[in-house]
Amino acid sequence: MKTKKSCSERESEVIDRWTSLKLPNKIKPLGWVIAILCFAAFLWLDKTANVSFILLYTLKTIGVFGLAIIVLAKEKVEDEMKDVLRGKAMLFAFIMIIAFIFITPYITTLLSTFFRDNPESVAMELSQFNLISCMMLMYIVSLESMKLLYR
Amino acid sequence: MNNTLKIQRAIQNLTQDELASAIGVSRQTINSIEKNRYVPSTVLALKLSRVLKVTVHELFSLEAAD
Repeated sequence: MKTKKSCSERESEVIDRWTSLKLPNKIKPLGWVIAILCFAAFLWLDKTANVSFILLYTLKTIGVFGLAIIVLAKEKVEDEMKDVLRGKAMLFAFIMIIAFIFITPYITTLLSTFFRDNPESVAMELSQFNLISCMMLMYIVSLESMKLLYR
Repeated sequence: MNNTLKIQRAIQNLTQDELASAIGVSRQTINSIEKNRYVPSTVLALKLSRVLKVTVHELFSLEAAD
């Protein structure tokens, strides 16, 4: 006899299905190459005049895609401890990004008043790219440092 | 929490790698458990006791502070 699943059971299954999706470990170096090359190219071209907005946007997008590959790739050996570390790293990155959103514009504007004539021009741009890139970078750094501690 | 994992592993003459492979975890997990940095799940504790041929109570014990 089929039992009807509750909403929370169905939701739990959907979450389990999505969180179990991970990329193969071998693809991680490719993610690093894509992220580093794209962000380096973006930083270099951003200083250059007459560069199209679409090109810069595309470089940012592909760079974020590279970071996403790193975040979603499996470890060499997946086990329960790696899941725990992953959860801690994600929570830490989330807390840090909240602090980043609230604090950084004030710090940047304060610093720019000492070094620039028009501080508004250097106020941190809280675009979705900056936020998601920072969050993924914090996740990667905190996960790698915890893996070193638990080695 | 304390554990006698390192001792029991030595009695069975197993390396960390061999024990990790036997129960399907990474060597880092075994090392972390031995150094009391990581508390394993019930399932993992039961697997360890089965491979090391001891009871869970012989492997893990609570400290007074626990």
